[in-house]
Amino acid sequence: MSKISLSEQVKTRLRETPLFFSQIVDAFRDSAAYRELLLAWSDIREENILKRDRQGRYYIETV
Amino acid sequence: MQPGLREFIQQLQAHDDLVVIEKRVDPRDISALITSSTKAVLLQNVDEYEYPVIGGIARDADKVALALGCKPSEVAGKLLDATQHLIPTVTVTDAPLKEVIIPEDQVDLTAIPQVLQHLKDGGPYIGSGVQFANHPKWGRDAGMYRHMYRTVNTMGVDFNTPNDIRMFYSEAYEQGKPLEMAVAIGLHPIEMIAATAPLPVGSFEMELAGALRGEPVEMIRCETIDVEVPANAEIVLECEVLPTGWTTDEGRYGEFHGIFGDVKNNPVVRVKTITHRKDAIFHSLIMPVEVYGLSAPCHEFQALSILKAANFRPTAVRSPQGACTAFELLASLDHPKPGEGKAALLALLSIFPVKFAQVFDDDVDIFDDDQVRWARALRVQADKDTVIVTGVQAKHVDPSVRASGLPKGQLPTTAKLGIDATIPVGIPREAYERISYYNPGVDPEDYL
Repeated sequence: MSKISLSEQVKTRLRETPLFFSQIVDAFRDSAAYRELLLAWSDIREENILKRDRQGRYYIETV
Repeated sequence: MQPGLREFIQQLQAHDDLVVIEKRVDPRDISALITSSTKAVLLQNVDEYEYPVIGGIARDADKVALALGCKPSEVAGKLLDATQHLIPTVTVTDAPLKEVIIPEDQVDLTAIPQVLQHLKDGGPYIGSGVQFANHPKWGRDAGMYRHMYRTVNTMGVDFNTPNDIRMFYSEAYEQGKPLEMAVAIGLHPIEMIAATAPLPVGSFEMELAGALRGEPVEMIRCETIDVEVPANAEIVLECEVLPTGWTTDEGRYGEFHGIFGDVKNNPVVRVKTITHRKDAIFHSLIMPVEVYGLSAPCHEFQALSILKAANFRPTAVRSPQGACTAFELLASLDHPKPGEGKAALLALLSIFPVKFAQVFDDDVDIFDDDQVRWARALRVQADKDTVIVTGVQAKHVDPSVRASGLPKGQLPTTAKLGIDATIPVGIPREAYERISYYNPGVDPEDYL
């Protein structure tokens, strides 16, 4: 799985529902290496699109 | 090279206080494995990483005492003595720490074990880092702050508590400048305990470490920032804390008191260079299990210091793990005079963030909870032997102080309770003569 496509998959999840980081890790445990997920997370962070809800879960606002 | 983390790991193994896992470990399982044992845990082979990972090296009083070369009951006294005999550091010019130097354009924080510790954490954390920074007026300082992974070359830092390096950063931020800061990972517990000791600003914690070692701590200059770090560190991140201020989300994190902290606004740290030993070992400190071992000595020596300064005669002090090694203190006193019990309580309750204090005569082993309860049951009258002080400086993370309901910028206060469990005035010590069993020299082995 390419890093770019993993980023897009993570972003898609976060547009659907707020998630804790551990839930993101669990969601991709079988399909992505841990470091690959961290690299994808880095790309998403650099887009400055992540928001946090009151419980501290991450989400991305849908346009 | 001075003994460091790897020599201490050998000590733990010699004392049967180390679990070694040779099987390949998924990096997502690190936290669960480290917290599964009361012993230190060494993961020799972690998938995707070239580093073995160690955790739990300072999680209890026995390990800390092993690191300091004394008994658990002697740790506070050893720390207090060391504060009065600081040893300046020395600078060396070479160390295994410099075997690998990763320049800025190759920095990749995912190449360091980024451990997801708790279920609701905002990301993986480096919890074992000891930070070093300089101030033109206050000199060098060391502390321990957590770092949440953000990107391949940035991480968060929690500068919400008013500690020294936070003060250094605040001044740099006001000038629009970054603060140069080094993060040393994989130090001996001596340096970690010293880094968390409540020394006054202007005192360099590594001089306390030297006093604990009995020799100067060897320091070495960083490559890209004007900061020195212990030369026996396994890994060093040379960083700048960017002058963004407290503007970026950081947290949540499972905090020292066993409760998830909130998302906070904090600065961002940019990693400029990484240096490490060729065969570096990564220390993953999992909060709060390992921090209790590190913080208890600091609170205990603070208690000992205050009691001695006030001319009491403490024979033992204890900061129990059940109260997060922060909120409760017990002390035993040598033949307290009338009124000294309550006076000692006031001294102990002045320590931040202690909320509960108890004092005992020295016939009570304050490390034995049954003896503590026995003395409380039989030496305390609630209407005479308790002290309550209200409106005192509080730790904001204590849910009972309701900090979230206060106006913005207002700090919370708390009420503190002291229990004087010393023998009440007018009751002779003989009234508490303990039972001893009649035994004319019987050895049960003779009957088996």
